[in-house]
Amino acid sequence: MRSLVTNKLRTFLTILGIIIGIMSVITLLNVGESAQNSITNSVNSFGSDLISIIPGKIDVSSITGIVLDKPFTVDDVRALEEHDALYYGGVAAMNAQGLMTQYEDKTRRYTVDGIYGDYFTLRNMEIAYGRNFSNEDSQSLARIAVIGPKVAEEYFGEVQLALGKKIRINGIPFTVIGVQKPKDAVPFMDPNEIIYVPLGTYQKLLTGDDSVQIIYANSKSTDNMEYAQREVTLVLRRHRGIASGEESDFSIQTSGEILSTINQITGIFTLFLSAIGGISLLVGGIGIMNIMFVTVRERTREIGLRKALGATNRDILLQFLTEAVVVTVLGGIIGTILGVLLTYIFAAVANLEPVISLQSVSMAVGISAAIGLVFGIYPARQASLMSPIEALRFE
Amino acid sequence: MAEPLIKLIDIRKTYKMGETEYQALKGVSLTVEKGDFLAIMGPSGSGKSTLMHILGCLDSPSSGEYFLESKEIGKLADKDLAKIRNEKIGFVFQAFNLLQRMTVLDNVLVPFTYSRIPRAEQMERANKALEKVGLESKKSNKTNQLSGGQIQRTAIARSLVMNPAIIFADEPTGNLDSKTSHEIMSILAKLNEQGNTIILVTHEDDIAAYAKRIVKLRDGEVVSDEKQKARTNMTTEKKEK
Ligand SMILES: Nc1ncnc2c1ncn2[C@@H]1O[C@H](COP(=O)(O)OP(=O)(O)OP(=O)(O)O)[C@@H](O)[C@H]1O
Ligand SMILES: [Mg+2]
Repeated sequence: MRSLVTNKLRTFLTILGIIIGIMSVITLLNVGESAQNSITNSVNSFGSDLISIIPGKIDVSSITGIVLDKPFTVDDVRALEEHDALYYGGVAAMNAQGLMTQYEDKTRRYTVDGIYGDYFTLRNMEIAYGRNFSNEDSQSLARIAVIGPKVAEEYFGEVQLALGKKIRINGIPFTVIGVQKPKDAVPFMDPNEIIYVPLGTYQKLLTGDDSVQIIYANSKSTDNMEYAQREVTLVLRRHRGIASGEESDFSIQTSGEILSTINQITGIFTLFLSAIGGISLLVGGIGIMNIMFVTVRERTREIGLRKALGATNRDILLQFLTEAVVVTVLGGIIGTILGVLLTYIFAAVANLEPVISLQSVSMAVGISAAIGLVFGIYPARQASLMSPIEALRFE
Repeated sequence: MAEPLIKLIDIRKTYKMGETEYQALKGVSLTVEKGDFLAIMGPSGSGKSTLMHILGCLDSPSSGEYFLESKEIGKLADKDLAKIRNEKIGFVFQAFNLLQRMTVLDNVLVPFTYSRIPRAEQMERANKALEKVGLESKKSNKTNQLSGGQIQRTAIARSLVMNPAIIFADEPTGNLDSKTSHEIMSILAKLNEQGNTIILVTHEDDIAAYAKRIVKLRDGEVVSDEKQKARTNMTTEKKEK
């Protein structure tokens, strides 16, 4: 154990591999877990009765993953609205884009959502001050906006002061008519930092493009999700003139399906990154083995002496094995601490609620101990099998 | 008469170095009684160290039998051999072999690592051993803060703590000046008077003069084995021989 302390730098360099490996595993697992948690929460906060429809087919073989033939327009949304629906209730549409906005001498880039229909209801959002868009507003070219509470704070200091003020988006003035109630953060996007404008205004004045990015509908009851989904599909297919037997040129998903897709993706990601962590642990382990060989060589005389004083092969084996395990566990602990710190940093950057699972921490310590055992056993065994006199004579 | 402490029967040791073989011991038979003080002498390369290592259970002979307290050493497994090295044998090396960067006391305590003696008794015995070699005042010193004589005295204290049946010293004074050598030998002689059995290797006649019996080796064979006159005191003894 003394040699570890006296060769601090060498020991540190040796365990660097373990530190990095454990750090990445801890970070990945916990960031993954945090992201998954937040995604689950946010998808759940949409409402489990939500159905999302995007134009194009999901095609894994294409580069973007989606083949888009014919975009949606407001006509598609209207078709859904006008249909005397049995299973689905509200219908909404949304386009989004990051745009430069300005109030007096302050400018900031915000996500601007052009919304149509029952968007707020479908996404479980509420108004804190002022009012929501009316049906007429959605289709008008009115220059009005509902803003997230953080936007209001940023521009007006106090949320209450926002109503009636004019914010410029792409240089065009919009009057604030409402402020949204605060909502839980979603990964990589804060729903409290969004500016909502009517979809018509958005298309005509901000983007000059009449396509619709996403349509939402909700099922009247969660039990009839499948029927609602089928009904939406039928209405859209008929409206878009798709012959029976032909594939739909849009994709439809329920929140549950979205959730499981996201979980699948994050699962693959976590697995992939864990593999990288695993490789660095392997490299770290080999480093440990190497340094143990060096240590055993350097301390051959000590081994001989200890044997002369009564150490059994087993005593020597345990001594070196303990050293290897202490070093790797030390690395594991340092790596865990760094990993937890990194998780917090990532979480702060990505707007996540950080989750540190105790399981991941105990696993990290367990893995590092196991690495010490696995990679320490061979050098330690070599040390233990030395003949005392040969070890003592070693120069 | 009781069983001898040590009984060697026709011990041979052959070193193999690739193709060539070298016979370092060519049939050594020796008996040592409890309480003896034996000096092994002989020219360099005569096999003294080889014999000491076999006696100290650090090496095994190529053939022959070795009985220590009637136990046949050649038949023991590693665990039992380690126990004998720990409990029955104290070894003092020419090269001292202390653990670096540790205090004198910690070095003396090392053999206890491999025993089951309670901590309090360990400290008591270590302190007593340090007292015997006159190092009580230095017990917190690191080994690099000691003189050569103090280092060897630490090593002797370490060989004493387990109350071994026998102490082996391979040229314990080989790296020390003559004044310090005599200090070390006085300590060993005193330990022998207190009942410890001691076997030492030396080149020097005035060191061997402390022993009760001198065994001479040449080319791996015992060429003489003589009892010395009983000592009256250290000074007269030094002039003998
Ligand atoms: N490990 C070894 N391999 C090969 N030959 C060895 C080995 N150890 C000792 N020898 C040889 O055996 C012979 C006896 O060696 P040993 O060390 O016992 O001599 P010694 O009497 O102690 O000599 P010195 O007085 O110089 O210490 C020498 O010729 C030496 O070269
Ligand atoms: Mg020698």
